[in-house]
Amino acid sequence: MHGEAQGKFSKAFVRVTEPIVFGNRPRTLLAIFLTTLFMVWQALHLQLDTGYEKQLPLGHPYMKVFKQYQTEFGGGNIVLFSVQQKEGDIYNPEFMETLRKLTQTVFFTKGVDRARVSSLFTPDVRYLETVEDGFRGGNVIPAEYAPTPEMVEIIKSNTAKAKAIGRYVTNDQTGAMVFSELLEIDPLTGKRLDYLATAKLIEDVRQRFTSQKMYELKLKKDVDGIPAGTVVKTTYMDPRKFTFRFSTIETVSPTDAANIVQVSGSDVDVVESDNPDYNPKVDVNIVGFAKVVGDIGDATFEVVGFFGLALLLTWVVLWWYTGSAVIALLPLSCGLLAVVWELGMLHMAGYGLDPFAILVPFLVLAISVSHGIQITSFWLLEVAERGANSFDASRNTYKRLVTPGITALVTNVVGFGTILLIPVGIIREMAINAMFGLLAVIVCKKILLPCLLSYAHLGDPNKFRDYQRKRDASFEPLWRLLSKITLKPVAIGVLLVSFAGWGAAEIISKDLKIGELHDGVPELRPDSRYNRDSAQIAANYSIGVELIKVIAENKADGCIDYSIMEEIDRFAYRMQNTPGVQSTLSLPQLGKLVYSAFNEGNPKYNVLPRSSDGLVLAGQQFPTSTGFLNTDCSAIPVLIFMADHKAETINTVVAAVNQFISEQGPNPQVQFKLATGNVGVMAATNDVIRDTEHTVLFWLFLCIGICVWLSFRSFGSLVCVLLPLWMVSVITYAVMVFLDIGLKVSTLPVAAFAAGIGVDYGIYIYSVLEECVGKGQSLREAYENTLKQTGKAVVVTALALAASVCTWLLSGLQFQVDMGILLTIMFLANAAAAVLLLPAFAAFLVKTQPGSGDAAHAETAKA
Amino acid sequence: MKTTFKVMALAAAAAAFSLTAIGQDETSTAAEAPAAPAGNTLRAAEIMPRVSQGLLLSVTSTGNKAVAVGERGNIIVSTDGTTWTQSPSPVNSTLTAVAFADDDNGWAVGHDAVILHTTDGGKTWDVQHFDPDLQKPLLNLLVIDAQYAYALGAYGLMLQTTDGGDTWNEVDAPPVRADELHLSSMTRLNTGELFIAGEQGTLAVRGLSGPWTRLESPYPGSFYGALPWGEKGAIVFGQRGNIFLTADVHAGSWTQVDTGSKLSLFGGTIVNGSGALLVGADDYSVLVKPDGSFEVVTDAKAAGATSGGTLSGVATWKDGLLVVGEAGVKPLALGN
Repeated sequence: MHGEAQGKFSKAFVRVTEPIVFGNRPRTLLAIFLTTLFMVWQALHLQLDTGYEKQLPLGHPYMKVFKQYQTEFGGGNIVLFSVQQKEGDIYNPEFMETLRKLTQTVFFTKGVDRARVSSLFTPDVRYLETVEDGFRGGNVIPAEYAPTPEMVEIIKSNTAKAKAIGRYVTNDQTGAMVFSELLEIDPLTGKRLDYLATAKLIEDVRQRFTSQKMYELKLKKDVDGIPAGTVVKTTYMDPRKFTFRFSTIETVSPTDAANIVQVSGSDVDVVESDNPDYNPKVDVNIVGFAKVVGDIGDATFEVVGFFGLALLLTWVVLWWYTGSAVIALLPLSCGLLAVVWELGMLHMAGYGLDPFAILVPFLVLAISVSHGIQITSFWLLEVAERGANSFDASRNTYKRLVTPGITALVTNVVGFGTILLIPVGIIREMAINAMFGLLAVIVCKKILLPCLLSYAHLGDPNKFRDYQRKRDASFEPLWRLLSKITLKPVAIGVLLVSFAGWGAAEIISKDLKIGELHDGVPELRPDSRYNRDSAQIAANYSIGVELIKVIAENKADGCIDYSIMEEIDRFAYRMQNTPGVQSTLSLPQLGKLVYSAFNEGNPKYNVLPRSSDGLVLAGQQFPTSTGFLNTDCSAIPVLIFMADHKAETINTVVAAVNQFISEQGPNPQVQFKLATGNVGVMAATNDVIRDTEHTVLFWLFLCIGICVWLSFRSFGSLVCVLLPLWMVSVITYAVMVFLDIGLKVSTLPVAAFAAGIGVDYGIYIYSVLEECVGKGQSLREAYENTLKQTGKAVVVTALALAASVCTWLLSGLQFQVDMGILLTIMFLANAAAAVLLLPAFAAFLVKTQPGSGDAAHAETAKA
Repeated sequence: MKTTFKVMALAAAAAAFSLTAIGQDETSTAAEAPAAPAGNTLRAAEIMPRVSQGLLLSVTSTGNKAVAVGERGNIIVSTDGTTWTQSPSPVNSTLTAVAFADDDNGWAVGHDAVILHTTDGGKTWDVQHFDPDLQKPLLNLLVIDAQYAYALGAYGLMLQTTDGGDTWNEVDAPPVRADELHLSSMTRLNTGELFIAGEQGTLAVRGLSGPWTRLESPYPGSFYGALPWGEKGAIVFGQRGNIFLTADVHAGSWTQVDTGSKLSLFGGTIVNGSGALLVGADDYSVLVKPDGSFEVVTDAKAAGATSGGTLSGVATWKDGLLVVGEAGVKPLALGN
């Protein structure tokens, strides 16, 4: 039965490699052991790494605009802190004190650009009122501020005059905002901002007002000239975690401000006390890129726990399957090893581990286990049923499975490789990462596992055989039933049903939406703290969070040219009249407000003055730093705030922009360039996904098809293996429609991953089926035998794969939840499709040998 | 991770708005007359879906229909006060005022010294006057009948037609125009006399015939509107919530209605039997009753609610009122 590897190449491959692997097993194991040590060392250096740019489809024309104006209009790395009074309004002394301290705390937070901190308590927030002879203005919070009821009344009146409501104060005046901006590069040290560390500092700012306790870290002994007892750090989040001893705390030397001293966590005492700034009547909402990064980072650490859970679940499945907890550990630890290698290679290649790509180790584990099951299963068969010793069983396993196994893996590699076609950095990184993983799997599974198994010992082969047989017997009726699918009438029925399902899925999947379908930051769950904060801020202030920016390019000093400003204003007005747009903001619009303000606030002067003098007057209020114009005023962004970031909404707005541009005719004096802003990036990403989706699927199936063709050299094999896969991917799209999951950066690779892995089932089943048919069995017998040999392996593989990805459903990151749902469904569906559909197609496409029949059946059954 | 830009925009917006409200502690004067003209050809208003929620500056009722005008030459007409249809407008200059002589005949005026005319109740409009090079906006108008109307505006601009708008001529009124002050509003008193209110406390009256006479003003700031008050009197209102009324404009004694509000009042209308309803900044509206007492109708700030923006105009409509301003047109009901 074995030893009939397909094709000359396969035979040659086995002939060459087998002695290398099995000739000197200690040498093989030592080589793998040393490499593993090296990989562990590499993997330990792997850093969690996120970057905004990696998520951008940099080849898209919008992104050229994005990059071009990033420094002028896009450098704003903003963090917003909103203090919300739980009951009543903000006009009470306690709230004002909290707001004042919050402003101060933000001001002194490391990484914050102090010049850009802004709240009612900063001097840039002024009120202006027109009086009979001109203007009168001043700071909203007078210089003589004290937390008294009288002062609060003055602040209340000034706040209204400053038009701060909706911006610095919530619309209903129950909360107030502190705006801040982070410095990407520290001007003193020149170092890039550490987002994860900054996110912690930002969270600490919140805790300062919402935590009842504070924690002072006091030195136990003198360190670097700082005397014992000095408080090196004050925090509002309990630092006493078990890793605290090993953490380092940075503190500034009290004698020399330039000297930053590192203090070890074991050198300090944590002193807990009541937090004097705690205000039970308020809550603090925070939004900002740094906070998102922090929250994603936190959730990513959680994922490490899921990995443990996935390991455990997989082990349980393997245990049930092999009937031995110890032998189950072999494929599992080989899988784990493959993950370590993958991470090691990732670091060697100079990458970090991105939260987006953290699913790859899970996939590697899953693939690795799926192959491990095939190998272990075959080995067990050899040992238990055929009475081979461990070593011979391993050799046979190697000979028999190395070629289909490597075919399957190469198919996987190629499948993942097609994802490289998507020009988004993070997806490419994911693909490269996965390909490293597969390389690791080839070594760990195909070489190491058989090697290890050759040392494994089945305590009592007979007892084990009985366990196996008893368990297998329970499957037999099922296999017999399934083998009926190879009968043509049944096959026709199965095919009709599946084609109907396919057709229905095709129709439903037409409704598949591209892009994000839900509110909030799509990476985090809709009910995450961050997204709730963001929704609160969006609801309570008159400031939008979904922004697409169109850059109006014109000649230098365009902002004092009426016809240019009018054109931009007309564009903004047109956008304002586009469905899905909440409001727009641009220099000409602000200029109109200023002009009206200069005319006693009379709304009838809410126009652009035609003269350049008037425009100078209106425009001089806006320095370049406001981000509403560049230095020579040749580029003016139009901010379009949208109701949401759904793909249809984005498409409507983009279409409106293009419509305006087409109406302008050739060589207009103002050129409107799409697009920056968070929704601008989404628009570009959606475009890229729309354009590449079909290409990726085409190449994916073409490559898998070529691999299948090379293995089996028959048209039948192509249909039998590929069509079920294709149907499942269409059905998955339909499922996405039902589950309201859009096709996006995180879900696009899923189809490729799932098809790449799902093809294994087909390859294994088809190879055994072909072999059985080759031996002259009737198709039904051949399939029944195939199922006896691989059926349970397929079931177990599907379960193991599903087990490893279903843990993501617990993730705090929305994209992982989405991917987890889809992969779980696809892994199970691919297995079902392979078992049910492959024989149905085979009924028509696989030619049995003449004379196959009962006699052959009886013979095989005996064997 | 895509939040960078959201939040950036937020702060930029915030910064910008704080800047719109900036100024120096010292005083400065209103915008000066500018110099060079720029691109100034007629361009029709665009028909857009959200005109009724955009900037509208003036509203009027002919009894059967309501007409409102505003930014970008927008004109909208409604027969029920809730659904509005935009009429094609031949200009996209911001229109500041609209008034009708009867159900069919009316005018609208605005920036670029534009005067539009309709004879079919606001469905279609013709340009009767357009002079952007003049650099003077028209701010208001008074329609006497289908033939007679006045338009007035910045820097003492004052035009008149006696032939239904076929010709518009400068009005010879040195006492009112010589100082080149902004003329905000013209109304017809119940005596039939014409009455003007404007910048720097400008108040002027013209008898049924004869020249214009400047009146002594109770207030040095800007008046934005005037309405007839009683048999011979007027009520004037303007900057920083100032309201003055008199029973006889010639008597020279004005009584201030001190509402305590410092919000400028930009528009008003007489509500039969109830007094004068005045509207202004920050969604503020106040009713001045015939006995000189007042009642605040809407005050966003006091209610702690979101300001709907500055209100610019108001007109009676059926049993209630329509107000227009930065947030478009909306109905307003008078309590009891």
